Amino acid sequence: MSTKDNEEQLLRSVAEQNAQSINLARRRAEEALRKQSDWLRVTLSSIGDAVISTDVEGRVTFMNRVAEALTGWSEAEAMGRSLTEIFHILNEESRQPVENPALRALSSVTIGGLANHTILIAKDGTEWPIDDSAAPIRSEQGEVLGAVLVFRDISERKRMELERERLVASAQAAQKEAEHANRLKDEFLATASHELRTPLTAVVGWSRMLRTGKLDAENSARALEAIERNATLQTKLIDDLLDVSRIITGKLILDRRAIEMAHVLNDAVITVRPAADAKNITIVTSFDAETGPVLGDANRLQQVVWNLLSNAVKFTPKNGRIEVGLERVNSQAEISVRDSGEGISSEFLPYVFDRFRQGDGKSTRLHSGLGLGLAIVRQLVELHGGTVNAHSDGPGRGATFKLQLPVLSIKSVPGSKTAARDSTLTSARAMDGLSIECPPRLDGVCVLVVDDDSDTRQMLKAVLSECQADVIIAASAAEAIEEIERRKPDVLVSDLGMPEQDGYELIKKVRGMESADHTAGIPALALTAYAKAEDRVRALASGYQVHLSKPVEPAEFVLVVANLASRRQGRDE
Amino acid sequence: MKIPTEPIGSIPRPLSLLEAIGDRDGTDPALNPLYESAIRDTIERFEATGSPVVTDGEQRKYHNFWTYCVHGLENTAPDGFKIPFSAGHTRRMLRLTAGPFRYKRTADSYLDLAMSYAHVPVKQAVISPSALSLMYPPEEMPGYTREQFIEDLLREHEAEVRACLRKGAHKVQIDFTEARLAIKIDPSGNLLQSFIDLNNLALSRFNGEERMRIGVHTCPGGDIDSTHSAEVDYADLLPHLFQLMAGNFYIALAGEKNRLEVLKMIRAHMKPGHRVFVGVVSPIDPRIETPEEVCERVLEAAEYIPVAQLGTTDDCGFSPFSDDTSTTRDTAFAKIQARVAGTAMASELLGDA
Repeated sequence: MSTKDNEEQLLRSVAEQNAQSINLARRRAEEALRKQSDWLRVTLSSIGDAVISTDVEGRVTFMNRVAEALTGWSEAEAMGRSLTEIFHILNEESRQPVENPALRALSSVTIGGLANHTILIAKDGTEWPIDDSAAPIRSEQGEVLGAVLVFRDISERKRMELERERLVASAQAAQKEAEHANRLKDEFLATASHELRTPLTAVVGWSRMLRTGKLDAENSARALEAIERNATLQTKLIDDLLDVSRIITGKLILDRRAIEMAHVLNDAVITVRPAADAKNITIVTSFDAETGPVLGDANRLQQVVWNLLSNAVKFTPKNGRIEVGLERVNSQAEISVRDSGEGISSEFLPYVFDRFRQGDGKSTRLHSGLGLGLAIVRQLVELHGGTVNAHSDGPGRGATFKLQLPVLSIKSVPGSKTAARDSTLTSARAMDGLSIECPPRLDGVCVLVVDDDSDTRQMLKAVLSECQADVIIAASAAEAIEEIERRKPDVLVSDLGMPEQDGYELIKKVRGMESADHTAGIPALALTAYAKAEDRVRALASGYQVHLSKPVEPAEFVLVVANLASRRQGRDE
Repeated sequence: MKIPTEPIGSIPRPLSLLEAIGDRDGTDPALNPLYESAIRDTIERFEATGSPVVTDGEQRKYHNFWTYCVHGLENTAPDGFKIPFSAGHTRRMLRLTAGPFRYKRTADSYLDLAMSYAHVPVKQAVISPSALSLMYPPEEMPGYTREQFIEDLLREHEAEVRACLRKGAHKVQIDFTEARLAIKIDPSGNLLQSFIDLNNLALSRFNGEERMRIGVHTCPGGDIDSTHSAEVDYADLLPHLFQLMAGNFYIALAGEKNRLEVLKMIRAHMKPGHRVFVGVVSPIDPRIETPEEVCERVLEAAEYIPVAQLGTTDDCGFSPFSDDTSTTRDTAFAKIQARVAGTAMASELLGDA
């Protein structure tokens, strides 16, 4: 054997021996690879997403547990089956089959995801909204060996998305509503400003003309009439605002008694008739006397009906017609006010009872007002447990308002007399008299009027003097105490808001003096601009018998003073 | 599509450097200026050819491409195997005398200087684990088993390749010239298969992306204008060669007698994702190929290999053993220039705008 042959033989020998070691190393590497493969399988089985792998033909080669749970197929069942059989997906909306992303990955050799709104139909028919992606599995040389599909149940995510969308929509709606309310408020403020200033124009203008002393008797009378009318109008506007405030804050207190609605309606018709007559509007009434009483606050129900009737007169053109009805419908007293006026558009009809809403909110609108009347109507009716609704066939075709109030199950309840009296008072207040009516004369009645405002003192003195009362005036609580000690008046009329000592302190001292002297109490009337219900309660609790809010109708004022005087007289007799 | 072209690696050293090395240890620091000068000149001349990828010409592999990493180890002896060449001379391997096996130096150390001079990507050649595996003697070494040696060898090789990749080598080329020799020594193919297995064990330590930057070079050897295994039929080699888990293959072709048969075999056994760089110039052929000739060879190869997977190279290094002066530097660069120009011509003809 040559040297060369020996070298080659030796080399072969070494190589052969090396081969054994290389084989050993290879087996170790293969074992490591197998362990790595096992680890990978365990890992894929452990992850929260569903994983399915396929071979290049799209046949399942692996499924983890999550995939088993979502598809309803066990890995053993699925192995070797076509992925389309195991992974059955539809478009959620169209219910049409969706291209399988794993098969697309195999054909296009690209990574891809599902379109939105894809649902997986499990073996048992369960539907799962899913999100997924698929990618080709490549060898080290880039050869496509299969595809891997990863997907997950997105039920919770979709629920959260829907919830989020709902919240966003809700927030947007709330914002829109707030913006709308703000706009309405702005419109209302502009309207309120206008409406409150309008009467003042006449009041201020006529007042200044009167002060010049150059008006003749006829124009002076016209001036005073205008001032009075506008002051009354403004009082109504302020009352409406206060009512809304009371309703909103829940502080409206109802003085519930048994009320015959026919009386209330009659009073209201009488009140609006002059305005209707001025437009030659015919008011036709039809009241069922057997309707039965309702339990309510006479003044507030009067306000409700008056608002409806005033509206009807306001929106009915000349020579129009208004029908007012009262009948019993089952257990309800149904009041209807039907007019032949402008009617209400179908767009505005749903909002006709909303606060600050007017069919025409523009500055050029034809009709004045704050847009509160019907809102107050609804609130008051609902406070009485009733309902109110409006109907119109459209612009120019009139409108009908119907309100229903529960009828009392008994015919007569204690207090109905008082209700009637209140109704009378209200009627008197609403009457448009140029002179003061003094049905109960106050001859010889000594009335002490306490008010820090000189004009008010003088006006009250003039009213009472007109009815033959003996009037003493005081500008402060201290003066009042002196007068009481000196003259012992029959009736005390006092303002509440005064400097140094207010009307509450005054009555407290007066009642203290009476208690100390063991003398009879002077009937006292609190006459104040503090017009809220809580003010009334506080005044009565302090010792006043009656609370009247400013501005007061002279006729009403005289009646109340006479009433108080009669109490004194009754006691004295 | 532009057809990539890359050199194999070695360029004949300047004679001044060889003379300076003489009988001295090539690691003598006094030689550093000469090495540096040789590397700078090599890269300048490489770039002058228009080559899009260059090497340092292996100027610092002062013995050869095979033993650069173990030369000087104290636990080696010079009486390893002899590799006979057709020209009648032999090259001798080192023999490991004791464990543990460690590299004396790694090829990434050459990259630093080369990359400081280069303006184009630099590739780096390393020796295969299978070549170095022959350092372990036939008889088992006391206290250091063959298994331990194989494990150490793989670890050292991996570290060297990783360092080259980390430093930015355009490609890391594993010189596997013993592949064809293995068939010559063991026509049964077992020896080659064990080489393939060993090299795959090394390659399996890299991920797919890394392996796309790793290549394997095979040739019948080229030293003093002769080969050690040109007579071995590629048919016995290529089916095994493409089992290697590398992304790139540098295959000598220009010197083959029947190139078309080789191309058919390449087409039959290459895999998707492989880039096959075929040799279009032959370092052991003294004649300088023309660009047209190279172009013709590229077009010929393109008939068998998809252009997207085709590249060109030299059949072999121009001076794998440092003392080989059979080819001049001028000749080497002229051949390289022809390769670059011919490949560009072919690219244009094949549709590169």
